[in-house]
Amino acid sequence: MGNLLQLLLRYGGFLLFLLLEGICFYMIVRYNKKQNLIFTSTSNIFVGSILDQYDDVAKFIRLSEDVDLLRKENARLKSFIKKDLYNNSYRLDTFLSDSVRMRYEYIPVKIISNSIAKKDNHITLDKGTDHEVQKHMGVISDNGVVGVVKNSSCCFSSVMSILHRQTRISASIRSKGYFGSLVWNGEESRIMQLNEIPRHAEIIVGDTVETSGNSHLFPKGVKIGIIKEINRQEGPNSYEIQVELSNDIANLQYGYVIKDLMKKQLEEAIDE
Amino acid sequence: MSNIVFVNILRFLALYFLQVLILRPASIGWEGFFYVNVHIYPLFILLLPLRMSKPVIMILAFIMGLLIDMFYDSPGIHASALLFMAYARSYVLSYVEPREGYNVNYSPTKKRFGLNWFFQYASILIALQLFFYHSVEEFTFVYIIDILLKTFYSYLLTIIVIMMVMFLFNPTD
Repeated sequence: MGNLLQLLLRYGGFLLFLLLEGICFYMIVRYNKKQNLIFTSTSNIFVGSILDQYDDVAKFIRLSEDVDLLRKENARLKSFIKKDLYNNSYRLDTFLSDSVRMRYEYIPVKIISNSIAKKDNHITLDKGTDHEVQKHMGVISDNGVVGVVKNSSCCFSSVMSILHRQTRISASIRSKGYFGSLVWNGEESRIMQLNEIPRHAEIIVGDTVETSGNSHLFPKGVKIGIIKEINRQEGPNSYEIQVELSNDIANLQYGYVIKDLMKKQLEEAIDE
Repeated sequence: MSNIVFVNILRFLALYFLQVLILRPASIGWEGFFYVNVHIYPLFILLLPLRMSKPVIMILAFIMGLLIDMFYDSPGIHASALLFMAYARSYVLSYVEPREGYNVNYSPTKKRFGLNWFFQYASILIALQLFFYHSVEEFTFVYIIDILLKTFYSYLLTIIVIMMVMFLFNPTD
């Protein structure tokens, strides 16, 4: 208490000054038209800019939520792409509404671990059997093919990356139809090799390589990359083609697992 | 003692009515003839006794400013400027302190401390008061040129009038 009193005695003059000046400014702003206008418009600008910045920060914080939302929406829309629908019509007079069935469903996933440095690389996803992610499902990202699900638990799944020496992905050259199999030699993370393209195929550097749809893991026409180099070797009957991936596996963050809704029917037909 | 109190009360009333009845109409163009913005009322704060404590001076300045504002119809503007001057008074006093120091029983007048000293003392404080007044009156430093010009012109006139008053009455306390 004594200290407080001393403080008041020492700084009392200044505090009184501040108090009375405060009363003065209150009256100035409250009762003078011009000063009031200036004060309100200035404080509006000030408050406005603060709110603006607050809004930016809030938006940024909400960003990952928005990304999630958009990816779910994307996955839903992807399953409606016309060329991936199963065509049910066999007669001219089939009703339009009966003529197509949905073939693929997409499950948005987040990539939680990844590697590119090894010879056989694996990726881990944050979704598992609880989210209908099963063994032998294809995984793609917005830019291309990622891999194939090898194993999944309730909440996570392990994916064999396309950067794996056992990868065999049936790939074709867009608008030319020739198909071969895509493998990785374990060297560069953005270059894969496309084999088994016959020698008579007319292909040039820069052609687009996409999934062929033969493997039933991926729908037809998912972009893989472009042809970078064509080696016409003596001897074997096919080209050795270097494909530059459109997908940079090194910075993947999100992907979609492809669920084939007609897988069972397909397997039945093949087994019989 | 009571003499000093009486003199100050009288001075308060005289300066107040001089300001609001004669100088205020003049400042807003008396009969439309001329434009003179003179602040004579700060002289009351200038001449308060040296031993008077700072809070009392500030409260007096606050009250006088509000009373002036009542006539000028500008609540708080004169009061804040005069309050600022009252707060600065003790610092200016120690800044212009003569070599032999102050006799605390005196009031800071021309007769006690000499013309040079009083002119220095008054001109600093009046400049502060007018600058503060015009700043608050504009309420934005966007018009800093206007503020400085207005301060300069009213400063010249105010100093002339105050020195005239001091020569005319030449008060001891």
